[in-house]
Order: sequence, then C-alpha cells, then structure tokens
Amino acid sequence: MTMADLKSEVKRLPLHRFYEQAGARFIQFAGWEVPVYFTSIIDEHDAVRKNVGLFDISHMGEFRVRGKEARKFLDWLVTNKVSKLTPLKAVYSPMLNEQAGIIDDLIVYEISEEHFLVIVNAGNVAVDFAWMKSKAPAGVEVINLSPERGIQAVQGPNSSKVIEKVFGTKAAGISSFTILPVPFEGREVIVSRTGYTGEDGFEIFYDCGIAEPLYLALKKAGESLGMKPIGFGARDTLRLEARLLLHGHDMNATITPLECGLTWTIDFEKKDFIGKARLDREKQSGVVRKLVGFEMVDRGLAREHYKVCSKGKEIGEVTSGSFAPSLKKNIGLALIQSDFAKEGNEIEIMIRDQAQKAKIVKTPFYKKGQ
Amino acid sequence: MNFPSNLKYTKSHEWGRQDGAKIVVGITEYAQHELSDVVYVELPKIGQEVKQGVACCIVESVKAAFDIYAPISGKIVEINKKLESDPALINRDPYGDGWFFAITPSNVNELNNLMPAAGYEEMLAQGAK
Repeated sequence: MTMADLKSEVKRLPLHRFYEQAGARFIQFAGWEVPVYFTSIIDEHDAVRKNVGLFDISHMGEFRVRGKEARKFLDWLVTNKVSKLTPLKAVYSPMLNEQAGIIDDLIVYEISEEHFLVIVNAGNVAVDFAWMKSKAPAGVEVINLSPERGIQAVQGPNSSKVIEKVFGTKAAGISSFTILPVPFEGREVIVSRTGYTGEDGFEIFYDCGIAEPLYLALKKAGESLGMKPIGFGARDTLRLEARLLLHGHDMNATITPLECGLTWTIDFEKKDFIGKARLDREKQSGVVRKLVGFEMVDRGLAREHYKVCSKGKEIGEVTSGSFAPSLKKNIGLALIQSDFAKEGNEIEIMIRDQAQKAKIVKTPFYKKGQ
Repeated sequence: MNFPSNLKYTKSHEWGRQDGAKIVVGITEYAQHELSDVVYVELPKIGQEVKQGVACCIVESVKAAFDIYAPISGKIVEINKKLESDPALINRDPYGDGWFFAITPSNVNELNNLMPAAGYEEMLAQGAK
C-alpha cells in the first residue's frame, strides 16, 4: 500500500478547510481526521462550561429506521424503552449482543409513528449497520444516511441563545431529549436538545449540502456571545467529567451495561430484548467487574489501559483518564473487580511501573451548575 | 515563533543554554505549542546521570505523555521545582521560567551535535512541507 492509499482511508469532515483556516490541530479519531483543539483544550473546555462552544461531530453515524414494525423492532434491538417514545422525543440506549456485551451506545429519535433516526458512534457504523440489517424483520427498512448527513453541536449554558438566533424561540425552548424539525435554506434540519458535555446544549442534524451556510449562520449567531470552536480534546474532558462513557474505551462488546453503571438504561420489564436472558442472570448473581470513577491522590495522570491494583494485587484497568479542567484534578474511570468498587476505597494506578495512589469517588465528577 | 539565537537546539525540540559550567534545558516554543496545555511534569532527580539523546523526563499534556531527551550527557544538578505546582509555566514562558533542569556536562564537545537557531528553524520549515 502506498502512502496515498493510506491517506484516502482517513475521512475528512465536509468543513475541514474551515477548521484548517481557523488554526485547528488535527488528530485521527475513529477513522476520521478531526480537530483536537483550536487554541487550547483547557480554554475550549472552560468556554463550554461557562459560555458556549461549537463542535462539528459529523463523523457520527446516522441511520433511518422506518416501517410499520419499526418501533417494535427497535424496542427489541436496544435495552431502553423505545415503546414509550412519542413523536419528537429521544432516548439513549445501549445495543447489546446475545452475551449482553455493548455493541454500541446510541440515541433513538422518533420522527413520527413509523419513522426513527438512530445516531451511533463513528467507529461502529459498519458493525452497527450490519447488525441492525441482520436483525430487522421484513418490512422494516434500515438505511445508512451517515455519508450525506452532518451534525453540529452547540453546547454550554448560553447555547439556547445561539439556537434562538438561528432557528427561533420555539427551537430554543424544546426540552431535554426532544427534537424539532425546522426549515433552513429550503431544507429541513432537526434541532435536538442533547449533547455529550454535561452542560445544556443542542445538536443539529442536517444534509451535508447545507453544511456551509448552516455553519456560517451558527458562527455568526455566536459571535457576539464569544462562542468558541471546540475540538475533540475538550469533548473528551467534558464528557469524562460528566461520566458520559465512550464506547470502545469505557465499554465494549465484552462489557455489560450492569458492569459499567448503565442499569438505568435497561427496561427489565420488557418482555424481551437482545441480551436480556444474560442480563437477567447477571442481575441475579451480581456483577464481577464494575466501572468506577477515581481521582488521583498522588501527582500522576492515569491513562487508558494502565493497571489498577489494591495493596499490590492487580484488580483491573483504567478505561479513561485525564486532567479534569473544571476540577483541577486528575481523574479517570476504571473497570475493576466489584469487591473493591467502594466509594472512598484507596487504589493504586500503575504509572510507568510505579504505584501511584488514587481513591474511588462518587460520579459524575462534575455536575451542571457546580 | 521565537527561537533565541543564544540557545542550541535538538531535533527532538529541546533547547540548551550554557550558564557557566552548566547547561540549562527546556523545550522550544514550537514544542510547547504542539503539546498544548501541559498539566504534569516528572522531572529527573538531582544527581541522576543522563545521556545525550536519551529520555530523562516526562511531560504530559491533557491529551498524552511525551518524553524529554537530554540534549547533552552529564549529571543533573538542578531541577525547576516550580513546574510541579505550575506546569503551565512551560506553555507561558518556555525559554524562561519554564526551564526543566540543568546538567553539568561530562563532555562539552557534545554541544557541537546540537543545532543553532537558524538550523532548527530550517528543520521545522522542512518538516512543514
């Protein structure tokens, strides 16, 4: 393979050149070349916590699920209550395999009675699509819209002011996990009050054909407020402080939602969903491993895959770790043996062959308005 | 970007400044910008022997950890303790208060392996192409 071939496999955001012009530094994430920061991760993090920031998250996947049996299918496909959705409402849910491992975590949006949108993680688009196609009954259509759809996220306490300027008061006033289709440049875009930062915020789903005018309109609306462009570095620190899990890191196809603290997303009352038999058994027997939040007591920074020990004995592994800009502490998530997963417990993180003290703390590390 | 002409530079973006018998070491403005927010520094120990081109110190940004290589062989005689409580000094003042450590060199001639400012700038310009 030549270098040129290698390069062509990394996808670029439709608005890549705008971010280049804005001085972004890029990294590769889930097969995409995305901005990691524009000015500084910490400055961008603070902008979202205190004011408002704009993120391009068009790397994420988007599927359309349609048909008479679409609701029934989705309700069986994922763990949360799709059956209780009403038009223009959304629900977060893991999607499990038969062993109750998390194939992906996603959000299901109800457009109308027989029409749903599903937003999935960029790195899982192919796997999710194949899984959903293989499970969908005749008459339920699953379409991968990802290549022609984009998403901009406006996040932070002042996000509704930006939305109001571009889409009007009705869109700015929708409640959490609600969507509103609105016209823009002769097309329909969907405004959703969702996010991945632990702050109030919106996500806008649109056809890539209007990516540029939409971006410019949002940018202009945010100008007087001092809205900042935000890279993936701050996206990661924001979500970690709010204990929002990242698939492929804090959870994966071998970790169950009971292990990683997503019990609230499981509707055990449902007659059936994929992975339910296994989860029912695990609920009875209790989990062997548990995802916990910790903060460093010693000075070091914990990073993904670092070993976690208790009195010298290995008990698990770090799944995410970073400096937390809002807390000015070094924090992380770790999947450890559940016997040790008690708040206040002291653990050791193995950092470059040295045991550094940390303690298990309550999560989320950060709560809105803190 | 600023690359003072009284400093000598490594390919791995450290600088060294002769100060009497010792060489004071830090990282360049280019390096601090690449790292972005530095949040942690693990300094070498005083008395530690270091070798030119070998990692002897770690800096971590929000995103990841990076090695800092000794620009010259010798013994660590001073460390900048201030970096432990305020690692962002490296971002704010990479050639001043953001210095890392000082070495008494075992062979001053090794300085000839380092680049002058113009050479370092040329290397960066080549890399950017």
